[in-house]
Amino acid sequence: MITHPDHELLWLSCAAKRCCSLRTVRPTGGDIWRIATRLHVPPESFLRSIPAEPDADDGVLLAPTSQPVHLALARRATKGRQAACVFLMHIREEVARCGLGELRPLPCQAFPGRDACGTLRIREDHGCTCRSWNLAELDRPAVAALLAQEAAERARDRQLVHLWNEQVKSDEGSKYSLADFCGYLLYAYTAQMAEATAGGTA
Amino acid sequence: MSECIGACLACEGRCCSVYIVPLTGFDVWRIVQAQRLAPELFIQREPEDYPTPAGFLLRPGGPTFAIALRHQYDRRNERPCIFLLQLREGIQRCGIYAHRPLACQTYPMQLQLAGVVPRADMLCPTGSWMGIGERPDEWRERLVQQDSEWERYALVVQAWNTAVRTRPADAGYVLDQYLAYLVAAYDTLNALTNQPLATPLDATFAALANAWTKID
Repeated sequence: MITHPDHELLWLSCAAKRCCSLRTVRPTGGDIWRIATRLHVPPESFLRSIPAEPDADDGVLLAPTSQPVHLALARRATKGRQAACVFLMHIREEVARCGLGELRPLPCQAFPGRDACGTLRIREDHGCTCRSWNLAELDRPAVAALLAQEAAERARDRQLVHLWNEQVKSDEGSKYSLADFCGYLLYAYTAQMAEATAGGTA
Repeated sequence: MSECIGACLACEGRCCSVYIVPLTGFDVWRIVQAQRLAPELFIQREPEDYPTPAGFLLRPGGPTFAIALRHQYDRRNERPCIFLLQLREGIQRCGIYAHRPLACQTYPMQLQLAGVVPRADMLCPTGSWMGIGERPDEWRERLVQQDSEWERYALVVQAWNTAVRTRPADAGYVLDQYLAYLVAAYDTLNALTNQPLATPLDATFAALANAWTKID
C-alpha cells in the first residue's frame, strides 16, 4: 500500500512543479550520498557548482585561490521549456513529476517549509502559482524533523568542507574538479555510515 | 534489486527506448498511486495483432487493445520511455524505479522448463547477467508474480469486455474511460486485500464494468 502525507499529496499532485524550475536546490552531503549510492550514479552526473555567497562558511575550494562554490542539483534545458531540475520528468506540457521520489533532497522534502530561528515557516519564495500555502496544511512535526535533519547534515558538511579546504590551501599548485570533491564527500559519508552501523550493532 | 542495478550500470538503456512496455492493471494502479498521475498521461493503447485474454474492447465487435507506457517525443528513431531520466554525462535512470512495471522488473529474464533464463532477444551488453545462476530465486519469484498479475488482469479485462459486448452496436468508448474503470477495479481489489470476500471477484468486476460502460 502506497501512502503519502497530506502535504506531500498536495505537492505531488501539482502539475506545474514550478519549484523544480525556479529554485536552486542545494542538497546536503547526506542527500548526495543517498542519491549516488541508491541510483548507482556518480554525483557529478546530477550536480553542478554554483558560486557560494560571499559570507558562506561552507563554500568549497577547488584551488587555493579560487572562488568558493556550493553544490546544487544540475538543471537540464529541453527544447521549448525553461531549464529545470535534472530529475524532473516532463510527462506532458505543463505536467511534470519528480523522478527521485523518496530519495529527493531534504530541502525538497520539507518544501514549502523552512526553518526560521527554530520556528517552522512557509517559504516566501515558494514560487507556486496554482495555490497558496499555509502551515495548517503541513505535517508540521514531520517537516520540522526534516529541517532538523537538514541542519544537522549541513553542520557535518561544514566540518568536511573545512577539512577539504585546509588541504587544498596547503598545496599552492593544487587544482581539483567537482568530481574530486564529490569523491571525497562520498568517501567521508560512507565511512560515517559504516561507523554508525557498526556502533548500532555493537 | 542490487543485482539488477549492477547489471544496468554498464548499460546504455536501450531497453527503455526500444521496447513497447506492456502494462497490467496493477502496474497502472501502482504508478497512479505513487505519482498521483492521471493514467492517460503515461499510457498509450496498442492494437493487438491477435486477441489475447488481456486485450480490451472499445466497442462491441471491435478490435482488442493492450496498454503500454508512452514514450517521450524525440526526433531520433529510438524514443525514450516517458519516465526515463537523462542525467549528465549520458547517464540514464528510471524515474519510477521503485514502482516500475512488472515487465521492467523481470527484464530480461523469462521462466522456462530449464529455469530462469535470459531472453534470446535481450538488448543488454554481453556479460551483463553473468551472476544470474547465483540468485535465480528472486527472479523466479518476480516472474511468477508477473504471471499471476497477468491472470488477474485478464479477469478485470474480461468483465469490461463482457459489459461492452452487451451495449448497442454503435456504442464506443475511449481509452480514458477504460483506464478510469481499471483504476476503480484495482482500488476495489486493494480494499479487498486480506478481507473475506462477500461477493465473488468476477461478480464484483462485472458490476464495476457495467457501471463504467453504462451510457447515460
